[in-house]
Amino acid sequence: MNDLQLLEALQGVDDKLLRQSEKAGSGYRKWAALAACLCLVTAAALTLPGLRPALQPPSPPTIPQAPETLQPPVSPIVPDTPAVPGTPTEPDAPVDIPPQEIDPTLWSPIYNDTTDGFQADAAPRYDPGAFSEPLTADALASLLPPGAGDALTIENGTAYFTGEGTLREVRLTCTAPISLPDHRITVILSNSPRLRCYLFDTEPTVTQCRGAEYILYQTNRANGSLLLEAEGTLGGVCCVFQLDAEADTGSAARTQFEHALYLFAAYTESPPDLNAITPTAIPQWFDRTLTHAEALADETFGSLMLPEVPRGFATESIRRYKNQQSDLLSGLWTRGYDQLSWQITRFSEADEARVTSVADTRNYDMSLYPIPLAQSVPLELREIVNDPIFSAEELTLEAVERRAYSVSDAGDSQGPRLNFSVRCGEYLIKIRGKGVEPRWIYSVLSSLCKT
Amino acid sequence: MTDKAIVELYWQRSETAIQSSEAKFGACCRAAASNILGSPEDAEECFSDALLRAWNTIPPQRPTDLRAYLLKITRNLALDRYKARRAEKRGGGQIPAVLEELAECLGGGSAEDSLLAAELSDTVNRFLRSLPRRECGVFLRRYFFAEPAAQIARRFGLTENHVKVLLCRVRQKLRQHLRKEGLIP
Repeated sequence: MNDLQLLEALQGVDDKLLRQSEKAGSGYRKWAALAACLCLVTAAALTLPGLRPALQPPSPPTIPQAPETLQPPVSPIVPDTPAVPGTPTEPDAPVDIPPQEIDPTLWSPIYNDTTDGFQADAAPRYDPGAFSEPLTADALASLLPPGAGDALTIENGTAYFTGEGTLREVRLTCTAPISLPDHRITVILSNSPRLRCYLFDTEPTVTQCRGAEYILYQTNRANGSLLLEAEGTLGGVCCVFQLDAEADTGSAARTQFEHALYLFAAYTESPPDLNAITPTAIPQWFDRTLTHAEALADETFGSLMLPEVPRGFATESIRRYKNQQSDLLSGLWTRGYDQLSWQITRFSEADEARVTSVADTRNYDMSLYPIPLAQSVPLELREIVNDPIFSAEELTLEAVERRAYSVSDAGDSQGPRLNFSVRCGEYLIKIRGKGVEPRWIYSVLSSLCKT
Repeated sequence: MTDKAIVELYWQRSETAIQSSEAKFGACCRAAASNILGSPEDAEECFSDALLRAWNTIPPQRPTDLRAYLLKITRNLALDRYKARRAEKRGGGQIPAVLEELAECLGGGSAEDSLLAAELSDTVNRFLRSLPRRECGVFLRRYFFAEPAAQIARRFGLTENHVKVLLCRVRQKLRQHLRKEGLIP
């Protein structure tokens, strides 16, 4: 196909679309003229003494609905109220922009197609002790772009800190009256420079918006969904925006996305003070290597630690770790290619979904599911079959034996393999074994959990 | 006079049909041809040929939208004349710029030459129907009518820059659509 063939293909365009393209033009001229007249009338009413209301942002002009075949233009942004002599004013108070009055013609976003670029790996380096806190209502309010008013809502936000309590970044979830259902924009703010989202052979196109410079990206996925992203440094704050849009929502999603970018461009003149966001408390963090004896003496988890090592196994590592998200004691022992992993944590609400009764063998009996498990295990059981949790009071030798299976991989251990967890009161023991007899594991668990 | 009435005159083989067609549709058809060929004289010849073609095809045709029918014939003839001129390296008009813009939709790739014109036309039609009305209108004014961007901007009450950005966006969408349909790699 060449360009001329494509041009000629338009010969087959629907007559109705042709008619609409002719009618649309004349209609826009008419409504643009009407909008201009109404703006002049409104501006005159506000500036003439006696007609001007007392220090409130002027109401937007009402544009009557266009006939069915036409789309009326969006009315322009209402200008700031001019000061009347002798009346106190706040000269720098921003005028709130009602959501329906964002004029899309005020900027022209150009998206860089990510198909031609490489996604940069912006994953932060491992930071032990890193933690997060939800932002307070006051903090969220301080991050709302000046002048956004009701045009934008920051639904929630999280601040991410280093282990020392220094703010790394803030993530916000935003929505607007024009948002598509269940479509939220993620905004990431940081004082530290970030690696670009995508890298191209040539410089990507930059789009100007109210003094801000954005690089916009669009990723069209095979399933028709769309990922819109943008980045820019606004008033010294590094900002990244993301909107994941469902299939067939491209135009509306772009409108929603560009609306938010337009509002956040106000950061250029009045950036938020991210340094004012400090943690309420720095969670305890440690990562210690222990001996077996020290692990058994741990005051939180020691009583459930593996009391003795299987014959022929040697200690590989024993670790006591705690941060905001995790609190655990774990050990690994090996014998050639055989290994035993034993980890104790606190039982949490998230673990409830994997708790199974011994009677429900379909949740854990590996003899029911030949390898490859991805094909034999029903989708709805995949999570629980992958890592079932038994109650210590109910655990039986038969259940542990049903959990074990064998494989014959050349060059690897031929012993039984198993993995499962056991709930002992408020604690959870997670066991992974290769080359360890189920009977031995059951006897250890019995003595630990039932005493 | 309505389109239906004029079509009836064609069926009755009344020469008034030609005069009525010229009066009602001459301006838009000549404008479309002129945008393609860059010459009012050539546009006049095209429209005259289009009227002759309409006379020879109605009947048996009975178009419901005579304006679109004549426009398409005029455009087709204008493109044929453009192709002939391009071979002779003559001519102007908007078409060179239009073709350069549309080449972006192909992304530098090419599909099999055996691609049927009807299949491509169907694909493009489906794409146009999926667009918001304004985007579709701007696209057709540029690539069917070959109107300059400034004229389209005046027609829609937009800035010329906005029209260009809008066209760029729609071309990108068309490229994605053609790729999704497997018409370009």
